[in-house]
Amino acid sequence: MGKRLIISVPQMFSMLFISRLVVETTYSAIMSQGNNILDHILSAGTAFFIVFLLILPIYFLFNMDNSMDVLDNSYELLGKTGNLVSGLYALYFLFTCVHTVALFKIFLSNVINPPVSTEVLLTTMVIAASYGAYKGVEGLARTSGVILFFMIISMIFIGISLFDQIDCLNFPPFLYQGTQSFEGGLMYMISRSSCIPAMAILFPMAKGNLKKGIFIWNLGIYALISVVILLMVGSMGDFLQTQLFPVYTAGSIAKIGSLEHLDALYLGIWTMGIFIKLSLFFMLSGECVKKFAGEKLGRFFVLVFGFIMIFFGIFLNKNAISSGIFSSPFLLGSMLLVGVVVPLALIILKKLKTEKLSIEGKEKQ
Amino acid sequence: MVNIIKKFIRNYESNQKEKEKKEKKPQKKEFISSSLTQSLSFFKNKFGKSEDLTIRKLEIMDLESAIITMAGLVNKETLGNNVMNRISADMQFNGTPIEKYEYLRDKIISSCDIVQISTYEDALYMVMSGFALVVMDGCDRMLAIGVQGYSSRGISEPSSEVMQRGSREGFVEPLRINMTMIRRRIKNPTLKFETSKVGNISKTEICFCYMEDKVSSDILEKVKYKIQQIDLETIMAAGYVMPYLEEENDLSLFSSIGMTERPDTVCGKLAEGRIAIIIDGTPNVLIVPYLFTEYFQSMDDYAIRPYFATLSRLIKYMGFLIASLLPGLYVGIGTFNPELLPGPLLNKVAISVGSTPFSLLFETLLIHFFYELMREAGLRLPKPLGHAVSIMGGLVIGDTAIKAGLIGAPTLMVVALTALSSYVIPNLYEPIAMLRLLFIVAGGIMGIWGVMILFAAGLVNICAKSNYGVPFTAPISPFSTFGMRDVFIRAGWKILAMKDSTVQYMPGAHPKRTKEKV
Repeated sequence: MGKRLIISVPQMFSMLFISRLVVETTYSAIMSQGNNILDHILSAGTAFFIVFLLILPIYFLFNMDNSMDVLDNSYELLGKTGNLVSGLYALYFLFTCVHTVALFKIFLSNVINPPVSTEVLLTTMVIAASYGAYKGVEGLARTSGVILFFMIISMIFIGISLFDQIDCLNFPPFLYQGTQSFEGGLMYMISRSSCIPAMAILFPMAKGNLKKGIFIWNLGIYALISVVILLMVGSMGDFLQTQLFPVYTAGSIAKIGSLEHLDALYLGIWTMGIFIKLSLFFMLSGECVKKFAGEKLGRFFVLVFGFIMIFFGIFLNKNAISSGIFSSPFLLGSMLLVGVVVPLALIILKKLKTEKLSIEGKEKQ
Repeated sequence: MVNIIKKFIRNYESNQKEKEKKEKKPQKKEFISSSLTQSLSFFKNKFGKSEDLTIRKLEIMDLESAIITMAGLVNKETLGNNVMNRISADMQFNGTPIEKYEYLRDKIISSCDIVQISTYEDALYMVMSGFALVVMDGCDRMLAIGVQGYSSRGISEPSSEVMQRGSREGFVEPLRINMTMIRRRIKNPTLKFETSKVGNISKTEICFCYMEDKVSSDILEKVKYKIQQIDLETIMAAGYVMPYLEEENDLSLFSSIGMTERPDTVCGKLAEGRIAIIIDGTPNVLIVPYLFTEYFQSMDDYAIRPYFATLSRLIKYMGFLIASLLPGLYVGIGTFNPELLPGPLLNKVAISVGSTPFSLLFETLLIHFFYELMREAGLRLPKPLGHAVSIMGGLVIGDTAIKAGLIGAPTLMVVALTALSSYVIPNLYEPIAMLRLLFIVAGGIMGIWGVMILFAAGLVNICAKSNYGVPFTAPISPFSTFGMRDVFIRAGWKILAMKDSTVQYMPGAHPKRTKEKV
């Protein structure tokens, strides 16, 4: 397998940053099943270290041969059984897409409640994301750079505008209602780390300092989340507990001088973020399918995946986003399987194979 | 089902391969006959009753000869001084016809632009390019003497790229004059001009111009290859060639081929490793590869102080965003998300929408349609009539429609602001007009969501675009801090000149890795 250095490490992490950000800015006490969202700052601090640990198997596997992704490794070590691994990853990425579409639908129908049909919007979003996926990782990576710039500027703008409205009385002490909220927040953050399995495919495509990239990406995400939580709690207090998407609500009450209704800004950046995440994971699922079905048949499967996304998006209801297959334990389990267990198993197999080869070599000598 | 799809794909592929296999049969070249009568009858047969073929028979050194020219393409004075006067003089030279031909070529003809021709195909091309052909009986070759003298438009300032400061010269139609305009500005032997003929019927001369020490050899090779692949009968404008130079299957609204009428702009681009393609018969010179950020640059930016140049750049970028996004956002927010508007503004828009009979989407589309109609009408009309169109459009339709309550004043203002903004970057007018229309429709059907989704898809479209391995959106994305010195800001000349910046070294550029294989 030849090295395919087609994007830079900062570009790759800007894609992953946006993908994380769209999930992280949909925090709510309802979704994380906690009662004190301020405890999520502690959750973020803990998650910061845990995510590092979770990335290690993928990083070590990549370091063993930096021209191969997890799928190439599985084909090399398992032969045709590698198809199973490709299928597993394809399903996981499709599952992440469906989850993102569901999140988009909940946001549309429960928070914004636009006069436009949510089905039409969902279908349009999926079609647009399919186009993004079709344009490939290079195009998406470059787009992410631009969108990330807009996102950061908008977040800073919303942050500054909320700063005035912070009331210190809104900050309760950490863990004063027990550890339930902390645990819920931690579970929420870790279980939705779908970027970790994505790294297993993306690492060989990126050129640059990976270690530095991983550190900045992880630190940036959790630092931003902590600041967002501080601002939200400080400006909204108990009102926050009742909101499904508190960051959006915070945006809608933000004000600078004559500028108000900054929720429009949030809407814009969040939609573009969802687009990037959907496109990226749709593209990744397509890449995995092409590995076992071939280039031509793979395109057909990608089309089927698109329909699956639309179908689930339309028929999922509000409660589905935090229950059943979208419950935190299931999300965590699936993420650990493709993000940690499979790479770890491949590392062990690779080590065993290398040792076997070296023993055989010595015997021949 | 899967089998059917596989079969369909297989059929499609085999059809494609068959198409690719169809190669052009190389045309047989007919060599010049040593018989004068045969050569003359060849020309007479080819041109038939065409009036512009002129054959002057005469004797040169006791040999039956002829001078063939095309009326109107030669300068009679030059022909007289350099050719006719010289050969009409009583010349004495004994030898074979070939020796006489060589004597004429080397000792008699005083023009320095002499080409020896051995095929009829070349002879036809040269005579139709304004050369005079000297044909001598017993010689299987001809002399083509450069006596071109057709009338052409004088050098003047290009009306589409008017500058406040800087050169007032613009390209003209004849290729050679355009080449001299570039050579006069870059007096360096590394500046190369290479010509080739394109167009099965028109045989239009195309010239590649580049600086040998700056250009990427991979890009140059690919440009030449693409030009060779052009299968057109005629080439009457630069626009004919442009699609052939774009990336394969490129469906973007934006072009990654630049076009200019200014020699100073071309010279600036050549120094950055670009290739200029000059096409005979058109004053528009193509520049490849061309980046998105270059649409916002003009020669004036480099002739004024950097502070104002930077302000001017930022205004252009703002203008681009306003021109393409504002009407879509206005329709989207006004129709579906009015709560996003500040109270007083919402009041005004609501009153306006309430008092007009059409929906905001239809109203905006209608005004845009009228505006484009007036623009098209004003574009090709004589100037005095153009004023009449402005009065009709601006005063009669605009003012009366508002007073009659057919359209709302805020909508008209949005469209006017949009129109004004789109003129800030005239080179981007076409893509902006298309994008604007798409955004209006998206906003009218899906509100702010539609606009945002389309914006993201559009962003992917231009970010994924590369031409000759150079990302179209560089140096914005892939980002380069140093590259920013001439993007959103225009740094001073001391910073601009700090580092050699050729296009093949843009961030993310891989001239070797492109879709097309040479």
